[in-house]
Amino acid sequence: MIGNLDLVTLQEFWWILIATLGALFLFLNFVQGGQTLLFDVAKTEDEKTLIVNSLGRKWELTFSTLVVFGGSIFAAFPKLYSTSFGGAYWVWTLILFSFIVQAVSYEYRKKPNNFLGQKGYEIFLLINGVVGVLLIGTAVGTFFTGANFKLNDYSFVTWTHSLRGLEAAFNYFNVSLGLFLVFNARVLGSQYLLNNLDFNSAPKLEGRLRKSAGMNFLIELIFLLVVLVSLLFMSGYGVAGSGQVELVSYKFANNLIANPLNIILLLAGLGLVIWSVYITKFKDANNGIWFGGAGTVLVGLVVFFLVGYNGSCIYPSLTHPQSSLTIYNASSTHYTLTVMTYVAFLIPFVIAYVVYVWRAMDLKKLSLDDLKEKAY
Amino acid sequence: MFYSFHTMVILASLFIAVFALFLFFTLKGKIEQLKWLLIIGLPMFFLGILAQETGWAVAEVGRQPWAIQDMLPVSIARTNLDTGTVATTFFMFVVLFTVLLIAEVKIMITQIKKGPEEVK
Repeated sequence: MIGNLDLVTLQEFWWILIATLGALFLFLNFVQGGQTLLFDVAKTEDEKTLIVNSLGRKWELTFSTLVVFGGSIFAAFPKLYSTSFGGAYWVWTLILFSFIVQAVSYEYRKKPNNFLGQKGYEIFLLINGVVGVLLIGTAVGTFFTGANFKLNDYSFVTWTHSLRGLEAAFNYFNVSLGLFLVFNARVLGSQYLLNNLDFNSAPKLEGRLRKSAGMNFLIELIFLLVVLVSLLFMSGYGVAGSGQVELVSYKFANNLIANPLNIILLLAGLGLVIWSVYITKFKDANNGIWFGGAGTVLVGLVVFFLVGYNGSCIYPSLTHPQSSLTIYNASSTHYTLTVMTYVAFLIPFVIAYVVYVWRAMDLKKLSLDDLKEKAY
Repeated sequence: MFYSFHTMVILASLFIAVFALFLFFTLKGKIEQLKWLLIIGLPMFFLGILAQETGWAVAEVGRQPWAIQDMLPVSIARTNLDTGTVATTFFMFVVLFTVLLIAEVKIMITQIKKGPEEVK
């Protein structure tokens, strides 16, 4: 059945799956955003412990989604994986380190005699929440702005900038996208905690979380506007009729118009995020995370769709435009994509399992009483 | 590679035998009385790491010169990162994981000194 589909259909289908995983990861970044709240929203030791233990129940979902996202790119678009991970080396290495220190922090933070002290591990969580998300944002930004690489006949990547990917952090668009993600994660983190905690044991925390959702949204809005306005006016690399890659004026504005679904998703996504903050801040709602999360997923989908379709490049090369990658020249073979599509039929079961686990963990809101015997 | 392969296989056989003994005596409910078996079990943790490393050596040495058999030679697949970058990454890992190892060992020693929690 799947084997009868042509290669282009499979490539386009797999980019939708990659986009979905990437968008879900952006939503699950509420964990990273929540980690950064330890330093400004949490004022007492008990509040910090509540936040860490609440996020500690979910951090693996974010982490495993990131791994599945990377793994899916490896399998479906191996040339993108090898070019980006092998070339933009320092960006991905630093992202990796930020996630290593996150993983141990939840486990070690409250353990007696833990060498770095509680504060040390909280700083690790902050690094993951700020540097990790910022760098992921700048790496995604290069899908639009391009990167400094050249591929040879063996698809071997040569990076032409000595900073090996870190130079992306000096581009205003990439940084704006990264900061947008950081502050969006902080909004989602606030909303998640409002949904997950029992505030009887920490009554003042609730008000601070609502204020945090509003404030971080306002800051996020600035970077979002920079990203959106830039996208509407910037040029982007596209594949011309001749097959040559060239710089096209208003490339992403054209992509938006070319597929009205992009506009609908973008507007619906932004609307949901705004609504989520409104009900969180002004209506004392605790379910803002679901609207904010859904909105983030929709906006995330548009980010990936804009670079994937309409003759666009998912990874443009600034050094040698003809080395640029598209979903068509970076994908696996028809055979691999077919086999993987069959495997992908398992995804709904995995999602169902995640939903089941989530519901089981959240049957009761977390309070300090729950942490008396064992806290991380 | 010869010695790596044989070490890996000998250790794997040893693990199967030791685990079978553990399973047998656990099912019989005698495991806690057999101090000699518990002592034998202790080094299995370290030998497991040794088996992993020798297995890794077998895979990586044995594959030469191919990264993907008959398709991609290692000489082409290898990174073109300069030596300084590789060395910097190596030392970053060494420093971070040494710090984390110290933390882990200190936490474990503290827990061992405390002993197991009392059964309620």
